[in-house]
Parts: sequence; C-alpha cells; structure tokens
Amino acid sequence: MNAAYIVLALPLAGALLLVFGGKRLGDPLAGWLATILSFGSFAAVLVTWLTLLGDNAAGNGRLIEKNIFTWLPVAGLHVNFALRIDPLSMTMALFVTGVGSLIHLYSIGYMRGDRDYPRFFFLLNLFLASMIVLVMANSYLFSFVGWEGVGFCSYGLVGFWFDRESAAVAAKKAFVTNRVGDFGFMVALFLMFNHFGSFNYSTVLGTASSGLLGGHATLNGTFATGLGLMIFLGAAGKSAQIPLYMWLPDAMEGPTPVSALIHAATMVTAGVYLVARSAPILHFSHSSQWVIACIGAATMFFAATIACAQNDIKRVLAYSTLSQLGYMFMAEGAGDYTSGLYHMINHAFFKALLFLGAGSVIHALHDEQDMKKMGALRKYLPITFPTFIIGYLALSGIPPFDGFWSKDDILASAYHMNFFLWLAGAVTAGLTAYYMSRQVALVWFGKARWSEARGDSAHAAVGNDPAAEGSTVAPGGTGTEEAAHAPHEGAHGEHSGRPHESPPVMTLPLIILAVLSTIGWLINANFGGFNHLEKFLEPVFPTAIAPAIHVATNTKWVLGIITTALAFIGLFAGLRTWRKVEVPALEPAFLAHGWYIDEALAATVSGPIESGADAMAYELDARGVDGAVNGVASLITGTGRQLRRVQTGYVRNYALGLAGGLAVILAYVAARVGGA
Amino acid sequence: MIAALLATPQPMSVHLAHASAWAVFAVGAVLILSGALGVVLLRNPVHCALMLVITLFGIALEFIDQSADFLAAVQIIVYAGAVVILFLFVIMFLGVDRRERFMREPFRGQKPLAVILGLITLAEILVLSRVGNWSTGQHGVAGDLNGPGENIQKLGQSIYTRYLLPFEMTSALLVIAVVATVVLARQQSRAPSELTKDEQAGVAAAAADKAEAKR
Amino acid sequence: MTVPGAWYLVLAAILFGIGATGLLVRRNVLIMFMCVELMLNAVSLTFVTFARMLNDIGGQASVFFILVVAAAEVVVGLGIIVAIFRRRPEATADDLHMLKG
Repeated sequence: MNAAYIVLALPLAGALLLVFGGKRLGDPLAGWLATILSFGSFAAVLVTWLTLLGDNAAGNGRLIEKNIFTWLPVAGLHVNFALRIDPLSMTMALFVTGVGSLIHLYSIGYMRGDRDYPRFFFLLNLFLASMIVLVMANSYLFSFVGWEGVGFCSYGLVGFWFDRESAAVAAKKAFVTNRVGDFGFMVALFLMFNHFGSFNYSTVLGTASSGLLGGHATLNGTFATGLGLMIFLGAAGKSAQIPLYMWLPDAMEGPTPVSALIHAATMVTAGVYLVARSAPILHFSHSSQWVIACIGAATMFFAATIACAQNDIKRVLAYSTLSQLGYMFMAEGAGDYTSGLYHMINHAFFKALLFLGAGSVIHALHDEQDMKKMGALRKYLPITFPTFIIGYLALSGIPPFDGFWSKDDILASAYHMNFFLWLAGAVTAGLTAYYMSRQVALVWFGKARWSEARGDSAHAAVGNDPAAEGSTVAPGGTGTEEAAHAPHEGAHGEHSGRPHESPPVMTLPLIILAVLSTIGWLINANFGGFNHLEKFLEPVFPTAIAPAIHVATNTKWVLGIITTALAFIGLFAGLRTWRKVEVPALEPAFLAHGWYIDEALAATVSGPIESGADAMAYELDARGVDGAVNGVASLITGTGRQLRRVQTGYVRNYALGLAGGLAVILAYVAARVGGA
Repeated sequence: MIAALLATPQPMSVHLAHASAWAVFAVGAVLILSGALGVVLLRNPVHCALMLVITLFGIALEFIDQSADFLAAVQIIVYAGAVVILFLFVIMFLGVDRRERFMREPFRGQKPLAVILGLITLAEILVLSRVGNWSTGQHGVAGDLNGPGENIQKLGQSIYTRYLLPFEMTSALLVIAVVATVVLARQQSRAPSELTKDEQAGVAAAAADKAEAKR
Repeated sequence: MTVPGAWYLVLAAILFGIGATGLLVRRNVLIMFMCVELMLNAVSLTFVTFARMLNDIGGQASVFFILVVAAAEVVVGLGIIVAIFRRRPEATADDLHMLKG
C-alpha cells in the first residue's frame, strides 16, 4: 500500500528534475525521463489498486488513508496531506496515469525539435502530479491544491507557444474562466467548513462505518442545494460546461498532446470526478441534481451543433469533448454516477485516440489543421487511419466499441429521469455520428486537397499562406500550429510535401488506445455480468445515496435500438454528404461562429460592462473616492496656506506678537492678583 | 549740572533737600520722557542717538536722586561715553542718509496696534503696581543700602563677595563679545560671484526695492 | 527720601512703554536698538528704586550687571548690524524677511 506514495512522488520528482536539469538533458532525454517516471507512476497505481482489491474487508468500505504530513494544524482544524485510496480515486488514478503515460510517449515524437522541449515535459509531469493530488487527496482542501495545480499547468501548456498572441490570449482566457469556477469551489469550501468544521471527505461525506455525512442523519435541503450548486460551479469551470465552456475550444492553441491529455482525457474530467465525489451531498438536493442534468444536456446538444460546422480538425474534437462531458454530467445529474464515470473512462480512451490521431495528421501535413485542405490521407497514414476510425466509431456510439456501452447506460438513466433528457441525448448521438463522419470524410477520403494548397513550394508558403489564414481560421481565434512550430517544421524540412506516417513512438500509443477503445466494454458492459466497474464502485455509491435505477429490460432494448439507429443515420448522412467539400447550407455561419456566444460576450463586455467599469473608474473612483482623499489633503494645504501668512518674515511683526502675549499675560496676572 | 554734581567733592550720602529732591526728580523725568519720545519720533538716526543721550542723563539723575551714586557715574561713562558713541559711529559708517521709508509699511495695522499694545502694557503695569503687594517682608541677603559707609564701598563689597562669580562671568562675557565683534567686522569683501545664494538674493531684493522707491 | 518710590516706578513704566512702542513702530534697526536701550534703562531705574524702597543693595548690584550685559549686547548687536547692512542700501529690519513663510 506504500506504493501510493510512489504514485505521487515519481511525477513530482520528474517535474523537479526537469525544471532544474531539463536543459542539460536535452531533446529526447528529457522526454524519455518524464515518460519513464510517468509509466512508473502508472505501475505504482496498478500495485496500489491490486492491493486494494485484495483488501476485501467490507468493514472499512475499501477505504485506506495514507498520511503524508499535517499541513495546517490550526486550532480545531487539522488538514492533512493525505492520500485517500478508495475505488473512486483508484479508478481516476488508473486512467489518468495510464492515458497520461501514453501521451507522454507520444509527445516524445510530436514535440521533437521544439526549442522548449524540456519545459513541455516539465509541465506534463507537473500536471500529472497535480492531477494525482486532485484525485487522490483525502480532503476537499487538498484536492483544491491539485485543482489549482492542474489549472496552472493547463495555463502553461495552452500558452506553451506564448510568443504567438492567440496562444497567450487563449491561455489567459482559460485561466480567467477557470477562476470563476474556482470561486464556486472556494465558496463551497467555506460553506463546508462552516457546517461540518472539516474538509475531509471522510468527515464531510461520511464513511460506510460512520454513517452518511459524518454522522449528520440528514442535510438541510437549502444548504445542500447551495453547497451542491457551488461545487457544480467549480466543476463547470474545470469541465467547461455552460456557461463556462468557452475557454475549451480556444485551448486548442496548445500542442496537440496537451489537447489530448488535459483538454480531453483528464483535466476536464476533474469536474466530473468532483461531482461524483460529492454524491452524498447532492443526494439531499434534488434541485441541484436537476440543474446538473439540465446543464449537462444543454452543453451536450449545443456543443454538438457547433461541431457540425467547424473546419479546424482540433476544434471539432474540442466541441465534441464539450458534448461528451455534457453526457457525463447528465448521467451524474440523473444519479447514475457509475455510467458517468464509465463514459469518462471510455471517453479518455477514444478522445485521446482521436486527438493523437489528429496530431499525427497535423504532423504529417506540416501543421495543417484545416480539414478542407486534407482528404485522401488514408493511403499515406496506414497506422493512423485504422486507429482513428476505431476512435470515430467509438465516439459515434457504434457497437461493439466502448462509447456505445456507456452512452447507452447514460441514455437509459436519462430516460428514467425525464423523457426530454433522453431525447436530447439521442439526437445528440445522431449529431455526434454526423459530425464525426464529416470529419472522417473530409480528412481521410475524397480527393487530396493538400497538394493544391501546399504544392512543391510548401516550405516557402509555410506560416504566411493568406488563403490558409483567411478561410480556415475559425472565429474563435484558433490558428494553425505552423507559425510557432517552426523548429518542428525544420526537422521535417528534408521531406517533400508528401504526407508521411509518424514515428513509432507516436503510433504505438495510437495502437494501444485503439485496442482499449475496442475492448472497453469489458470494464462495465451492460450484460453478461461484465459490470465490474459498478461492483467496484459500490462502496463509494451505496444505494443509500445513489438509488439503483431500474429500467425495464424491454425499454432498454427499445431505447438502445433507437439510439443506435440514429447514430447509423448520422453516420451515413455524414459520409454521403461530405463526399463534396463545400456544402454551405450545412455550415451555417451561426454554427461556425459557435452561436455567436463569444461575439455576444465581447459585445457585452465592451459595451455596458466596460462603460459601467468606466463609470466606476472615472466618475466614482476619480471624483468620489479620490475627491474625498484629495479634499482632505487640499483642506490641510489650504489651511496651511492661510496660516503661512502669519509668518511674514518681518521681525517687528513677531515682536508685535510678543507684545500681545505680554499684554495677555500681564492681564492674567493682574486678574489673579486683583482677585486674590 | 551733572558735571558739577560729579565734580563736587561733597559726601554722596548727604541727601538733597526736600524741595531739591522733587526738583531733581522732575527735571530727570522731563529729560527722560522727552528724550525717549525723541528717540521714537525723530526721523534722523543721528538726532535719535542724541535724544538717547538726554534720556540716559535723566536716568543718571534719578539714580543720584536715589543715592545710587556709583551707578549714576557708570551710567554716564558707559552709556553716554561708549554706547551712544558706538551708535553714532555705526550710523556714520552705514551712512546718515539711510532713512526709513515710513510710507511703505508692509503690515497694515502695525503702528496703531503697537501704540495700543504699548498703552495697554503700561496700564497693566500701573495697575499691577497698585494692586499687588510684592514684598515678602524678608530682608535681602546682599546687605543694607542705608547702613554705614559709602555707597560705592557697600556696592563693591557686595559685588566682590556675594556676587563674585557672576562678576567674573560678566567679565568673560565682555571678552567674548569683543572677540565676536572683531570676527564679525573683519569680514572681507568678496566679488559678487562669490556671494552665497542668500546674499545674492538679498542684493537683488534690495535693488528691486530701490527701483520701487524711485517710482 | 521725600519723593515716594511709586513716582519713580511710574516713570520707569512710562519709559518702558515708550521704548516698547518705539521698538514696534520704528523700522530702522539702529533706532530699534536704541529703543531696547530705553527699555533696559527703565528696568534699571526700577531696580534702583526698589533697592531704595527695600533698603537692599542687591538692586544696585543687579543694575551693575545690567550695564555690563547691555554694553556687551550693544557691541555684538552693532557688529551684526554692520555685517548685515554693509551690502544693503537701507538699514531697516523689514528688508530682512527671507524667513517669510
């Protein structure tokens, strides 16, 4: 069980080594160091997990806490740096370190030649350490440390190519938007401390032995709603749900492995984890469950529509991530945490796969990200193509790939909660299949359009191709990676314009992830006793807080068939339609612009909010506050200026004052003597 | 008259006759007040200095009237003989034509206020001297004034015994004053460029005043 | 001993008042100085008068010291005045107002 310490220690040590010695290690070595430590961490998680499985004492509800040190020994409050090992944290740690290690491996090839190679791996390792802290902490406060840590790493990696303005802006946007969510998290922390006097998961949420909510038999409904909504606000910020979603598409400014690791597989699922962790609180607030479900459903549908009209290969996947996160939150709102987490794991597999595949394509085409300038790549990328197709089918919900199973579970639970939630989910499933088909058709099939755009003069045109800039860049601001990726470009300069398959360090993770996406149903398939995850997570979500959802088997069959039919319809519609490259009717501007939300926000901020701020700054502050301060100062100055006249500088004036004083003193003495 | 008094080798302890005492007081008072008013009112500094001499003579007279013979002599020697001469010397040194311009009073109300305050102070002193009984009844420690012996002898005994230390200190004070004055007056003249900033400003201000006065 | 001491005191008070007023009114430094001498003499007269009234030689001893100090004061004061007004066209106290606030 002491392997739990190693889980955290290895990536942390890697980050320290890389920040001090990264430059010395140089290009491939720094990456290999980070990758090996990451795999070591994964191995340690495996050991810990197996030990937990062996520790079958039902009495402690499969919960072990490993104290590292006492962090805040303030009177009455003892916050420990301690690791909580239970089924939920193990589930998270397993896929975080597993997928994270694969992406580390992939990055060794992808980032080759970048001048800040060591910094990239430093941030990746630090991210991994922070993520482990976040999921394995034993208290909300300690989790918050990891929460902020991953936020920082996300900021550093989105803005990795900070000399490009759009990247710097996107990083700032991600950070600022996350602050709003963090505000919610912090308010939740304060509420929690006020009510429970502790941040510990065991105290706040209770354990199987101590009873729910640390001995509180019940929780005031209003308080539970407030606490639940604040927790969800934090989760929505991290997991990019409405209304805090807009940073995620822009976060695609980061290198593609970052998009895969942080903005698809792991960090954005932190919100899902937090909500799942807080299940006992949400149990007492039906209204906050409804809010979570509805916001999840809205994000799910809304993001899917936008994904239909994007041309940037990574932005399509980014909106798809939003949409899938919406599924997870809908599941959690419906009280089906297991399905949400199951979908999260599956999503980590196939979305990481898709992002890495997209990265491979971008790599092959010398940092081209516009799908309209791709096509017919299947012949040139013989390994990337089949793996990408597997990810595509998994995301589209085609059996037997893993996305089908978790999506099916979620939709059944949604149907149990409300018919319209199910309807939105089913329609979104069709949309998902449609936009992914569009992507596949544009990237892999059809005619090769990259040769026209690039031609033999590819290298001369790199980075300043006006056509590419003008027509491809989606309004959100994502450019291509080409400008900042110049060293990368140079490394492949000896190639001609022909696309080429990526090196093995990049294709190996693709293959592994493709296999995982294919056999993901082994984890928690809905039939034949394959519900391992559900059984494993049982101690975390006992029926007392997450009542079992019973949907009749026949109904499940009907729902599954309808959803799958919709997915197939979307699949074929997409593939048929997008044999052609330009179908303007299906790419309406308001979808391409993401429903103009960014524009509306910008208008609001630059309009009423800015003038309000101006009023505060130039009227209230400058005249009111400053006026009061300056008024006091000028009052003193004015008094002094008047009093200054007394100091005439004429000795005789002073003598006059002296004589006056003498007269007064004599008068006083006379009065005293006369009186006596 | 004074010279005659001083010259006459009659015993100083002999008091003047009843009527003559009043006469001396009256003459002295007239001299004192007229001289003082002259100092304050006359414009020419030389005239003022001469009027000051008259006042000092009057004071000496009153001293004699009150059997302070030695002090009267010293008063005339020191004041009339040294101080007023020094005044006249400085006036001549700086130039007799340096009259003050009464027209330019920088602070309005200075003169009336000064007169009013002077009168008030005077009135208050008079009132105090009337209403207060300032004597403690204790006899002084310096010695009797009316005892046997000459006035100068008794004064000398007091100064050289009881007041010996203050006497020595005043002698030191005088030496210091002399040295200080020599140092002050020895100031060498410098070129305008060597003047300090304040001095240059003073010269400039004076020139401006002069120009204003000519207008 | 026929003239009562009070007369002398009144005379001294008037002299003191004239001197003080002159000090405040006149602007010529030398004349201001003379007014100071007037005031000093008024005090001397008072001392001598009190010495007679109280039959105490101490008053006359004090006047002796006043004379010495006045002499020193005049010497130093006039030295300062000479040093200051050597470069100035006018000998008025009002020309020295560089300490104006």
